[in-house]
Amino acid sequence: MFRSPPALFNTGAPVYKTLWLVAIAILLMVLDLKYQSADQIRSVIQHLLHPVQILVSQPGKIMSSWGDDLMTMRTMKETIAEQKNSIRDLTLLSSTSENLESENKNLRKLLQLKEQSPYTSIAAEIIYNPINPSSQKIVISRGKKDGILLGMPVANEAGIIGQVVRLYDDVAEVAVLEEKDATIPVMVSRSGQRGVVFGAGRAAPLELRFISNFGDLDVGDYLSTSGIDGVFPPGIPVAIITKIERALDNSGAQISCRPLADLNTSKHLIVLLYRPSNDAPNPIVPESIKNKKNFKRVN
Amino acid sequence: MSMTMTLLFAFMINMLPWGNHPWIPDFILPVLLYWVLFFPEKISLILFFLLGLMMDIQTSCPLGLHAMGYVVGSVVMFFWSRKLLTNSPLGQLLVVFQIFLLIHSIINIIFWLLVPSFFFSVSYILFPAVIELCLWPLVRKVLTHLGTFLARRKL
Repeated sequence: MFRSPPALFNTGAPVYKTLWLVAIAILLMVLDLKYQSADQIRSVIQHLLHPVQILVSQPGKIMSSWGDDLMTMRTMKETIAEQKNSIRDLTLLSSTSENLESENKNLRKLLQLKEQSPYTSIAAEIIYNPINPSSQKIVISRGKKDGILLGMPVANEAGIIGQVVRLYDDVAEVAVLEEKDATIPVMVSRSGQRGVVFGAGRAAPLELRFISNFGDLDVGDYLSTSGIDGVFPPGIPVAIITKIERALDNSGAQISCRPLADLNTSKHLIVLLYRPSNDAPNPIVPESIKNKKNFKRVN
Repeated sequence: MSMTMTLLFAFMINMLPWGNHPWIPDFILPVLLYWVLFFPEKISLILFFLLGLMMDIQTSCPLGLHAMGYVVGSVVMFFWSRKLLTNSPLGQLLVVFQIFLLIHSIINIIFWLLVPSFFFSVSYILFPAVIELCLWPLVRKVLTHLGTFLARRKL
């Protein structure tokens, strides 16, 4: 079989083309990471990909629906009984909570405290987990069109799962709690102490930091959102403390915790359409600091 | 045309909900290298670049990362493609494996340089490359059959 020599050896064109393409790739990476200005390109391509994404996610859905079909009569009856019980409990709870809510409102008015901003939620489905070595992310089936904003919290029935970090028209990317450098301000439900939970990377336990070494903490304490960040609504369960290693000196304790929501197996979740109240503290930056030359970092 | 279709099909296989595990291979790579190796006069670097961009968005990587890996990998393969055709099948496997490793290491190392919270691990380079190597004979066979089938229908 006769083969003509590749064009590369006749002309230098592919080499220049390669260099150009590599340069464009580097430019895009810099634009995307440093200046976040490649979002337009992203959203255009994502828009084109969306129908295919939905199409491709169908086989998995069909498989799981088969699994549901194969459920036997007995397990079905059991689950129905369980659900009836839980509904009974929940109705009881909701009636008492309504009472408590109105009481709380009245007391807040009496004490002239600010009312908590109410929020609604919207159900979403997980489309897929992107194969990405640097982070644990989830792509969900709701986007800008459904009123989702950047930074909105995502949860399931057990607790917080993560936060919306990238937004497209039809889908959104959610960074889960385990993601390295993910932070969420929490409160120990039992004692009311505040701290911050940090993600430590894939499959590593979460870490509770910025909490007193001599505080009243125990293994098995529940952590819920404190709401002081203005991003997460207060009182949503986050994690449970699994291990405390108290240091002998004053350097602080090493506290590990486990997220309450199962980050890997849940299929459905809810996005909390929580907009923090508008009068959140908005620090006024003095002119002297705005001018970077006058600004010296104080350690 | 058939190149574009097969690459897009491989991309769709990539889009299946595999989950985020280190060993998930990139199904595009064997198909890409097949076309570069056997039809070097047909390939279009811009197509590979666009495919890489799509892959970046699909995997939520910085834009241009996979694009760069695909372009560089296919050009290196292009330089070697003529030499390779005369090689033994084993030598061919070895070179293809090296290119798989090269593309995965380009993607991982640049990602690691760009993103401070990146957790660098060799498993993300080695495992997918090994699985892609296992896919290589299959992809080669299927695409060759497809090529002969299409050629016969045209005649």
